Amino acid sequence: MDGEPASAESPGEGSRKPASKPEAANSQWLWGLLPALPLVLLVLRLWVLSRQDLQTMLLLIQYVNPLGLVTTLIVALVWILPAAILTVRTLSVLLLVSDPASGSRLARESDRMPGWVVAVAVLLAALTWQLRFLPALLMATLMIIGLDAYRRYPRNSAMWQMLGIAVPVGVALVVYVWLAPGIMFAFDAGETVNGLLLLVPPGAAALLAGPVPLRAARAVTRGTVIGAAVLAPLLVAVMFSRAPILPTVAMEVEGRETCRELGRGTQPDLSTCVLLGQVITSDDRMLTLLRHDGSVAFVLNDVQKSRVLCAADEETPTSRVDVRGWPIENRVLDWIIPPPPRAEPDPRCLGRPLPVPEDSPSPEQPASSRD
Amino acid sequence: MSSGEQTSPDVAPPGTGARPRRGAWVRYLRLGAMIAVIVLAIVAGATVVSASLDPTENKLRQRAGLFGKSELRIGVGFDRPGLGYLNPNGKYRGFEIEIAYLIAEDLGFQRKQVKFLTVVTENRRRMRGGDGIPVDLVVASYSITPERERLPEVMFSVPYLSTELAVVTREHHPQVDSLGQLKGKRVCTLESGTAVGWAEKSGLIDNLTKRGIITSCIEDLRSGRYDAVVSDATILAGWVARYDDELRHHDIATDEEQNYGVNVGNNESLRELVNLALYCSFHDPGDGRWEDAYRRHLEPLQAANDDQLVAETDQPNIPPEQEPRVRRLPWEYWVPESWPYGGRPARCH
Repeated sequence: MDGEPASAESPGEGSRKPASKPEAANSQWLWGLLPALPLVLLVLRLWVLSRQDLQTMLLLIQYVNPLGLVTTLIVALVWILPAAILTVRTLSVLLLVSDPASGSRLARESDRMPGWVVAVAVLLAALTWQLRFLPALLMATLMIIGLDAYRRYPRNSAMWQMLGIAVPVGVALVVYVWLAPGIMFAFDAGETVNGLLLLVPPGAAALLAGPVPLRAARAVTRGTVIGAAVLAPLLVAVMFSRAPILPTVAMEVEGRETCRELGRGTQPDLSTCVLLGQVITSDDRMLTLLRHDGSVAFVLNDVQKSRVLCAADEETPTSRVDVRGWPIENRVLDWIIPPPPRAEPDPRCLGRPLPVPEDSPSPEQPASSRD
Repeated sequence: MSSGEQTSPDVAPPGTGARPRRGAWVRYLRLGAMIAVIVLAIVAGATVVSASLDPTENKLRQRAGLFGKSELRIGVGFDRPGLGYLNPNGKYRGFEIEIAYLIAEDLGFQRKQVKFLTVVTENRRRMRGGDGIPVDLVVASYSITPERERLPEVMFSVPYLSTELAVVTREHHPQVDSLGQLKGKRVCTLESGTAVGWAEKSGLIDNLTKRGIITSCIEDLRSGRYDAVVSDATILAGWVARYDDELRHHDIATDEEQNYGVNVGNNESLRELVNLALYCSFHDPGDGRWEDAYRRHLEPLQAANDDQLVAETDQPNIPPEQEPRVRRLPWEYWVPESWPYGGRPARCH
């Protein structure tokens, strides 16, 4: 195993290079741009939703509630903040441990970060990250603890051995016992990456809580931060552009003429047809619906027979793997506040009217499925 | 390594330029692990984004044009007892009818929303039923061949039944072991069927008659106009069972396997959905619809068909690597057969 904490200088002992003026100036406009990011994301989301049609986008801007949009943004991206804090903190403390004389701005800024911020970030991540990323959260947390011990107690190797090696190994063993069925299921189902996400981080935590070679430390931390800074906005933009922001509904519409007009030939000669889409707005006269093909339908309330809320495609998970019955794409929040159970899809959500019972002239609908 | 306060034995003080001491390899090992974790993070990020781009079942239904459809039109055979047969009461019955229902149910249609239309052999590629009415799917003993797959209007699903080519003669005809024995005899087969190429390859071209429907071949065989009928064993088996004391099924030595696929026209999303339904039927231990259909419609034919196997008794294998990439809810996934832990969801729909 590695030796004890290095006899290197403790934080602050190293020669810190003051930030150069151009560097400081560069960061000013970067910070200035930060508040604009959510705005850009919101506009991007509306642009995607309107299928790049200006008139539709203007209609959306007129009716879509900004508070609702911001709420969606927060819900969709709440995991980003702890991810950023923990990545920066982990890398900076790794850099400081490996190269205590580092004058890195990243390390300096991160060093000023209060411990409670990191603790809150860990708590927030534990609540909002998907189960498959929780081993990575555990790894980052144990790394930070181990590396901090290495830095703070440079002459006390027992402390570091306990916090940087013994604790991670013990925790990893417990975690592996719990994760084992999920790891096997993931590999069995051909989901190698999900299997590795569950398998690698707990074990890696015991190995990573110490310094890396000095030169490599600078390259790895800087490279990772720059890479993350470039890729993260792209990832965020892709994820948010797909987040549902309007409710998806299916409505039965009565009248052959209406069906012919609204169905545009796809539902000919039907006295009752179904329209699917996302509700832009609804008032006492009509409902404005953004249909799946990007067109907008204005449906008078008089011709609406029934409505049902449909599940959004985006809610469908990408993985089948679970750990002891807990799907790996679920969050702790999902277990604390479980979502309502999903039933068989309503035929209206597949674009088909409710079947008419033979002995009854009007369709019978469960009260719960109506708007 | 001793505990307590002491200096590091493995690390030279930073900035001294001294050679790394014993144990520096741990730092390199750690660096390797660090890089591996970073690579995993990048791959995981890419996988998460890429997986989120996979269509959901709902999205595929939408793309396949199934949204809003009040009925699903399926083209089936009408003169193949046990496979696809139109009864005098106007109802279709047979193994392929059950397979059509299986697919329709998985596409989100109730049985009463399925409309069957007769397709004749040459119309299977055109996706047209009687009176030229277009159909959404063709489930009518349509063998998957490379030539057919190259046709622009044909797109096959994975196979749902495997059989082979066979010969039927009248009851007292001597045993036929190879197609070459029929040289000089009057042979009938289906136009546009795969047996045409097989018969021609075996030198039967001079006396080969191609008919539009199998009924014509069988009736004329019974009346003595033809000496033999060449077609798929499954297609012939129903007629042999019906005229057990008049017809004889010959087990020909051939490696010409016939795999029936569903033609979905040019609709790629529909093909994914049909493949998903068949994949689910194969892998889901709780889904016995294929097996029930076989037991009800094909197994009873075996007794009258001597040594000739009517069709393979198992659904054609669809390996896990061919699983359609469709996002589904957790309880809709199949369960790996090797899963030893029990208590898993075991149904597709």
